[in-house]
Amino acid sequence: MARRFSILLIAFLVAAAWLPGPVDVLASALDAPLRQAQDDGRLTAGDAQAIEASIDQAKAEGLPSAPFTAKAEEGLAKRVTGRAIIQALETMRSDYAFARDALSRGGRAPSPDDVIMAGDSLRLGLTRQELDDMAAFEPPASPAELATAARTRAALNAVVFPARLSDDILRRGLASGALSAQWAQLFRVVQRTREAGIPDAAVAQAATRILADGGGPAELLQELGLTGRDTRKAPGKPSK
Amino acid sequence: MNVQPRTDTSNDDLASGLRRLGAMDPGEDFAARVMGRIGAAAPQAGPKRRMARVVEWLTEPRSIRVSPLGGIAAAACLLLALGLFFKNYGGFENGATPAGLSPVTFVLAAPSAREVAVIGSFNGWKTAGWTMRNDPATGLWTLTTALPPGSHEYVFLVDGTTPVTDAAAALSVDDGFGSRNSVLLVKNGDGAAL
Amino acid sequence: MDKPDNDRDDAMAVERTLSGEREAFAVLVRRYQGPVYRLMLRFSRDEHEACEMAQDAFVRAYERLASYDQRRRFFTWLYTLALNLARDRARRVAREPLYRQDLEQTHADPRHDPLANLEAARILDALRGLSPKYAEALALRYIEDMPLDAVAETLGVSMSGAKMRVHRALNMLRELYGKEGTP
Repeated sequence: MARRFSILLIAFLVAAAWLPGPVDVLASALDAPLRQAQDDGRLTAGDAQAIEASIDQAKAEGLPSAPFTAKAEEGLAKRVTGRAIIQALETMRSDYAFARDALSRGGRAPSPDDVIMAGDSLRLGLTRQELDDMAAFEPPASPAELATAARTRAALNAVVFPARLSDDILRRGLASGALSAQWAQLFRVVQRTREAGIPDAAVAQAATRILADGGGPAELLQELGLTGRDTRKAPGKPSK
Repeated sequence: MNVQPRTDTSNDDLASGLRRLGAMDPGEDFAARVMGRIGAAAPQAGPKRRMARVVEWLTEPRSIRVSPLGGIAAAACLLLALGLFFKNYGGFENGATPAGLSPVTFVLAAPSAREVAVIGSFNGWKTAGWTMRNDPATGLWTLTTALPPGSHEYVFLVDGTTPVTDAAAALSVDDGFGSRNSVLLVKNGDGAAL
Repeated sequence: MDKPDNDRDDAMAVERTLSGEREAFAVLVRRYQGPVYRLMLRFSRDEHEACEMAQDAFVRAYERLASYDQRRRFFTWLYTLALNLARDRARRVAREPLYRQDLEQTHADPRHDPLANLEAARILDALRGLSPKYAEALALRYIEDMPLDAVAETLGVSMSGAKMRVHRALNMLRELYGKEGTP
């Protein structure tokens, strides 16, 4: 009995993977919130169709579709207008396409996660020019490292770290192959060094040294005389 | 290219043409320009509104900076309350943290809110199971959970309709809709946010 | 755009603005900048002017916010305010048909092809030829995609009245649009 059921389930999933349109498993995650929003009068039928069309378009272009669904869900939960959701999805599609092109330069093959990380960075503070420039660095970095560089740079821009210094750090990081995923937290180090009165230039110099040696942000904190202690814990709670 | 005379345009064509006009928009910087023109001016006060305004200011939702180094009096009072608070609602001190996840506590000061939820990239922006607990004595809303390492975007959803960002968050980012999301960075290992 | 939750959003934004939180007004601007701008397009000579007029409308709405009756729907109040402002301006300004201007002068959205822009300009021009009560009914129904009851509420008429206006307006527009001929 169980065996027959699992055969049916597999058959269904295979069918779902092969058949376009109504048997689209991923789009169904959005059906309920879309319907609810229309019932509530917050979304017109036209907008709902446009949202689904936008997601289909992303899939047709071979872009990872989960973030689009998530962005639509976010918009619906925040009760923004249908037009705002559609605009956000269009922007996302454009960003992801651009990121994929940049990361694919020189015959490299970015994974969907790389495209998502680099594409999101364009919303989070990275300019297209900056992404282009980093993708053109010699020697060419892997798509995963480029994606990390994009994320790191976006956050540095967001805390208004000087562009020249960000350039130095990321060039060194990409050249040394030491830009692990943790470096995306660099902006947080900068926030703490600023609280401690350490100049940005000193942080940049230390970061490039650490990267040249293959280290991570934890080593950077030690080098700068700050420990890894979390300053956000509540009083009375023991530190680990 | 020849443009056909439009004498045979149907009503449907016109309706479609009108709808396409609906895509015209003054652009992303429009709001900034309006706000710039408004400047520091307050709206002209209507005679009955002043008391209502004072009351509203006292009760509107605000997120607070939670830090033992906080220097402002308001934060210090709240911290004392928090110290007592966390003893009772310590989260994962008694139970084990699910493997790979790190404990996180969200806090929002919103004394006049009826309900508050945390919605974000970690829960599909859905409120179910993510409503915050209210302490009537302090007016604070809290939620303790465990999240995987990495970067998470979130907001507080007040009374089911109003997104509010977290003033205590390390970073706020563009959400793509013209508004902002708060960012939470969760580290591996010791479970503390950097 | 016309159901209780949106009304509560708007009401809360208004309250917060009046309490001194200026930035809360930006929420309302972003939410309604589209419809107000598109309204101004029908009363102005080009997109730049429409943008200026739309800003004027929001600035005036901010200044007069204390006089807004919160039992009414915010968008209705805003739209009426913007419409009055537009009509004042329109009386002072001679109108030129938009589509005879050089296309380069209009701030064309790069996603639209020039021919679509021409169509937009022609429809807008035809709309200007309608009497205001018909033009607004049509705009709210088709450009802003509002359901009939919201159109009725915004215009201050009954639902059957709104339905009739929209129907007649569409027929009148078709005549005007057809008569414009080829450029």
